[in-house]
Amino acid sequence: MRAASTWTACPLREDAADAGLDEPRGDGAEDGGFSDGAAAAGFEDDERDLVLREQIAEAVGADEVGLAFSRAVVGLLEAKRADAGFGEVGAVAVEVDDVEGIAGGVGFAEQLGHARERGRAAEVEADIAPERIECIEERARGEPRVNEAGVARPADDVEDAEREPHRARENRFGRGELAADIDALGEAAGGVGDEFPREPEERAHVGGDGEFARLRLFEKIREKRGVFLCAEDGVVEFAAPAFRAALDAPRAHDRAAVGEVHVVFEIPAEVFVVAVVEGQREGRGHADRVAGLVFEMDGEGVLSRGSEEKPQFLHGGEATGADGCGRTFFVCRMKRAAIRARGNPPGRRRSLHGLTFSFHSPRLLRSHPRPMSDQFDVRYIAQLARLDLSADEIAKFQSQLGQVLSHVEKLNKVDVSGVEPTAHANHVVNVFRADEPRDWFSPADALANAPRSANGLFIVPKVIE
Amino acid sequence: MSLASLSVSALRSKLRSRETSPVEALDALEARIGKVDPVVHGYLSRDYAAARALAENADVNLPLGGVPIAIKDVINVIGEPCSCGSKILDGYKANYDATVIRMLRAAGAIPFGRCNMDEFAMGSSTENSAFGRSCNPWDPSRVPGGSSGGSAAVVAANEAFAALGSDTGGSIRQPAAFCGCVGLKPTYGRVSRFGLVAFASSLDQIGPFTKTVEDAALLLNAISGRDPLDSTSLDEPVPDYTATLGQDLKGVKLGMPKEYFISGIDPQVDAAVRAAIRHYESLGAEIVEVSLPNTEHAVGVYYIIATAEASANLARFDGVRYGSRATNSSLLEMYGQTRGQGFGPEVKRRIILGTYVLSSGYYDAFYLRAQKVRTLIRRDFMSAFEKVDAIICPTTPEPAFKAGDRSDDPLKMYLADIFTIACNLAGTCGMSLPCGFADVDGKKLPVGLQLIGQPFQEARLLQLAHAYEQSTDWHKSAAPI
Repeated sequence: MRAASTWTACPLREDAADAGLDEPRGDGAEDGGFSDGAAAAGFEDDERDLVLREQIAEAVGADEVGLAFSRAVVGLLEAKRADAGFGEVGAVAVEVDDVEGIAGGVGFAEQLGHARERGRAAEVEADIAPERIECIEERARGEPRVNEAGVARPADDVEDAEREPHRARENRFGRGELAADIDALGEAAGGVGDEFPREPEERAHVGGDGEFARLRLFEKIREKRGVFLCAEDGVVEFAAPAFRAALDAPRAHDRAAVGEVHVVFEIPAEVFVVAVVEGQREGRGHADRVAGLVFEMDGEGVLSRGSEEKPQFLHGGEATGADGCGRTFFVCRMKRAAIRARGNPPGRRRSLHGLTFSFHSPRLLRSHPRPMSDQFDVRYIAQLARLDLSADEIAKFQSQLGQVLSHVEKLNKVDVSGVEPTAHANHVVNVFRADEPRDWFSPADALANAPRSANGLFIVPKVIE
Repeated sequence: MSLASLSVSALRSKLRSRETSPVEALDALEARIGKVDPVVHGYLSRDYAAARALAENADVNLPLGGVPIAIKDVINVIGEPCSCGSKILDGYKANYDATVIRMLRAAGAIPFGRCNMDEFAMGSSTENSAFGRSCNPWDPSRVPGGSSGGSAAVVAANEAFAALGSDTGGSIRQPAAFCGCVGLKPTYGRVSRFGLVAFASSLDQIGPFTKTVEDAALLLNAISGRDPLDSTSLDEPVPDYTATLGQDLKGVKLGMPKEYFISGIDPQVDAAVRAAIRHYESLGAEIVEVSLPNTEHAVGVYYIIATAEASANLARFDGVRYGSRATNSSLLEMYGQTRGQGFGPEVKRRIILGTYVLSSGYYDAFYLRAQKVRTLIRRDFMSAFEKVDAIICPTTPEPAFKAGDRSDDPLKMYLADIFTIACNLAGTCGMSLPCGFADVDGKKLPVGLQLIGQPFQEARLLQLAHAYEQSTDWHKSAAPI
């Protein structure tokens, strides 16, 4: 854990109460996947939880910034979840591009408020994807929202009576409806905590659902990039950028070849898979069998059916599509319980219907990213390479290089144990020459091709702002 | 027979006997180029005046005295552009000679003309050049191969007596096969890479394109040897590569790798190569089946290692020291925009892939693993070479393909190099020579035979190739342009 010595620590209790986090809700996870996931992550131990809490409190600090941020994240998650019609979508995500940047700034809610006041929405949008903000605003106005499938949802589906009091309540930032909304929605944190002990006595050890959940969030804040994911059973999970693939349909198909089912993302209770078939599938009534699973389009969404599973409904439109090259892809979510029903303990690689699932706990997923093409994000890599790409190029390369990476992944089947790497065909080491001056480029020669030069120097734009 | 269609050795005889002069040879090329290069587009630029000045003072008694040699646009020649087929180096003028150029000059040769290529040598068709594709002289609707497609095309179209190219995964042998000329990739470390703009430093090697095997030997004589400016060049003795030419093949064993004769090879290519193998038997060589079991992994290993090295090598193109600069707004914007606007799609793809496989958390899984599989591929060759003197196989699975056929499918394009890549990964030498024609849509398309030799055994390779060439007529057919 990284020390954050510049951040001040202060008590957590007060803020937990303030955010309404002392009202636990949403146990979820009836399939048992929840607790198994927690066990796999090694959180069955209360002592461990306490240590974790202490470490987080020490490292992050429960200052205004951190708390505001955590509430915002939870609030955004919850808003998104409500908007999306949770029973159908199953999971939602909030992308946070640079969490530390926000947490280390002036405080998320304040920042948001100021930016609004000054009409500088763009600054905020740079930190939080705009649709998430929009999502909150719409909820605050109580307007029905059109979901991703393009279907208008009835307001009562979105409205949640128990949230009304929170929304009306005065909050510490006094930033009006928006901030109040964020604050009130912090209640969702009561339902988070994927490793949280299930029994009330156990909860007492760690100071209540809400607090523990926020502690987990603080830990997550310290991850630089990723997605905060809130699943159906109330699990809030910080995930690698790969999860975007599961919800970002235009890219999801890149990870699988025709006829294969490919795991794009996992959370404790569920696995997201993408399956690709040859040909265009539109409208309803198409069924395709891929690797033993039935993928069926009913016009609104995709049903995936394994022989021992109930149909799993996945949201429409967004999650399915065509790639313009004569392929159709399905993104489906599968209950891990169905997999576990076969007696597969978590933590091992298993095969189901010819698919390989790898069972990582969220923690393992984080510290040992699977080095496969489902982690491949052209946009991010382009930044590393200082290479500006157009949106078209990003989309194209994502698809094309996804195929190349799938090909390259065949190398994983090669047994290389005990094999020395070849960096060079000829094994030569320590090639030295005399360290003596010799005739070489004059400064004028060296500068001859420079786009800009003056006074014997290469001229570049200002380096230090 | 026009002067321009002469081989290097034939030209050399005429120059020495004063039947012709270096200036006449240059003028013959210039005339030929004027006639056919508008179609072939094998050259990006030529400096006739500079070449003529050299031709007027050439010493024809030197090994390559007065012979003009075309140069792939990735090798620096002082005073000339070196665009690497890229917009990012548009306007760049080299202010030094690559070691191979210095050596060619010392042997009396005249660097003349910059050959088109896939941008930064990344490609198999020359379609990735920022300055327009080159055409195959046998059928202009088809590609000349790549990345050294311009070098192969100008030799095949008699617009050059010989040319230099570079080979990272087949970029000499594959275009040589597509265009029906001889292409030799020397052993890694045989020829200095100094002055060659780096693509994948552990794989790149400069080599000649020629009309005959003897010419390849002559050029290799001139450019081989240790160079203090390239620490990977080795101090192995440089024999006279023409010395073994003409020796018979008694006792020679050739290995036929079963993994290279698979379904999916064009039937006419397969037939031509098998006929060539039978021909070798008739010349006294013994044919042995060998196995290179890791062949199927070569493309995957290559596209990890080559892109990883490329992403590092191409970091230097940032708008600071050379090339174009997109903007002066801020440093990071300058980097991103200069590179974003200067590089073409294939280069960007490979930078992305290379950056990815080297990025934190993926290095071990991709790059390190690929290097280990590379070891296995090299071992395959070394154990095969315990049984045989050289390996014999097709250079490419198919003859030249149509322009535009694969430009939108990088993976398919990459798989075109399936037979040439392993040789670079193993670091050994290989060459392609004409072994027949495929009849496709009423056009005769050359088929290439590939010989892969033991490290630093180029002399043996040339001997084998020469024996085949001298007892067949394929090299005598000229492209119908």
